[in-house]
Amino acid sequence: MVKKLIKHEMLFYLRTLLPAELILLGMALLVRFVQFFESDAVIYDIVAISSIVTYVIAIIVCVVMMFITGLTRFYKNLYTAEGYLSFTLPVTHSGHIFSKLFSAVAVSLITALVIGVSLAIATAGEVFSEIVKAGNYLFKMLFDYTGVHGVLFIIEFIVLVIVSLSTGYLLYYTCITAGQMAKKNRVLAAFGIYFGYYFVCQTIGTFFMIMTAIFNEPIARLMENIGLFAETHPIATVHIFFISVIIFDAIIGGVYYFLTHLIMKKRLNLE
Amino acid sequence: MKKYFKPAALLVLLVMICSVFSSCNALDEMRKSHAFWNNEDKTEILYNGEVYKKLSGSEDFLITDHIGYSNGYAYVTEKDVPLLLSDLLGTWIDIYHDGKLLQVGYQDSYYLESEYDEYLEKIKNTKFDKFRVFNSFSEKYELLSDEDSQIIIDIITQSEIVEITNYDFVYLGEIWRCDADMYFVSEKFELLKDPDGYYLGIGYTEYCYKVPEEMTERFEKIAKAYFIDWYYE
Repeated sequence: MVKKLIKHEMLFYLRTLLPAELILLGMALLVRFVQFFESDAVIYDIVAISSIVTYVIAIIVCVVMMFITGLTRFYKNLYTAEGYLSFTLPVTHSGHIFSKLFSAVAVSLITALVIGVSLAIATAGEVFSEIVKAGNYLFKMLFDYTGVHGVLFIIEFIVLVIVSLSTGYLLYYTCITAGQMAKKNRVLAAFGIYFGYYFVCQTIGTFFMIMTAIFNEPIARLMENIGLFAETHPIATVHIFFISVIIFDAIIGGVYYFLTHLIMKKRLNLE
Repeated sequence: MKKYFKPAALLVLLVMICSVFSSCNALDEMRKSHAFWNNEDKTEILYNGEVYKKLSGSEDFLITDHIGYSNGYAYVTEKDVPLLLSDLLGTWIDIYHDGKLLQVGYQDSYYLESEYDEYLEKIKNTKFDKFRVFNSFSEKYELLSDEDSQIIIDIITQSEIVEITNYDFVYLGEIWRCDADMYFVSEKFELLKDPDGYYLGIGYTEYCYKVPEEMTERFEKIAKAYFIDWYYE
């Protein structure tokens, strides 16, 4: 059943985001088309810069739309009138959260891919071939320097992107879900919870900064030791960095998931 | 939707095909400033289709054109480095003397291979027996007269060397030992001043010659003739 839910989620995203992504590809095509008339004329500069600005705006619109669609889909599908229908389906709360999260992350990755394709279109020809050459050279450098670790770095990076995206979405899911506990103005409450969370995070960050300033000496010594370790074991340091950030993000994401699930199951009268 | 697919695909195909035959001005510009090491020990540079050879011992002197008259810049890389990474992975080159001389980093100089021997000969026969200054008023390099040059030589040979520890020093300008044509320069001296008198800073070191009291008056004439006195401004 979760598979079917994911399929419907993806169909929804396809209907909503496909036009925006087609426009983005069209803008990329326009940027490339304008470059055929490259000259020193002022009019060319105006047209070329305008086309590039429009293209960049199209990228921003695509990303913002993808993000907002991901969140409104979660909210509307579960917490508005649609939610009554959604929760009659034989799917657990975890299934609902997972299907929404999986499809949102997948769509984020697809959007990144579409942006990549649009860049390839906008730079098609000589520039694109130079970009590919530069990319190949950088990968060659990476593998020459790190050997098999290069592959592991790429895998770790991809995992980190997926985990960070999931954690990001789960934070907003938690805020939206917690906002539903309010009797009125639930969307506003969700915003309030998000800004409250942000405020707490900033306060904790400031507290740590103050602690760092107070305990300057041991922290400086610690940083020096870390720097020394990084100098002598650069490859291990990169692995440790990636893995620790992945674990940290996964733990935070797990907490958000647990909270969302808990509130959805215990605190909201949805069924 | 389907009826738009074919024309859209055709348009994309057309743009892609045209792209193969079009060039990019920005890349052409980058290509113009991309030089390559021509051999493994980096004694030759290939730039703009010409070979440049390293001037051995070029670190011992600076060439006049190095100061303020760059004709442009480039980056030198290994031959397999792609164009887009040339500035990231390459070493900065300053181009002088109408493209005949390349200065890589701060020390190494390379000269056009076809005129290399002639240039080397010129360097060998150079006598650094004059001094030149950058005149702050006319904003030009000028050769000191024989009389003024003799004052500098007297200071260098007769006065004591002291360490620059006084941060009240005011920098007035620079004096360079050079050849009669002001084409090559060797040592650099910095003209410094503090309440106790004048000093001649030695190149890029922390030491200087203290101008003896008996020479101060003669030396002050040079200072006032060529340099704006920021100390009392």
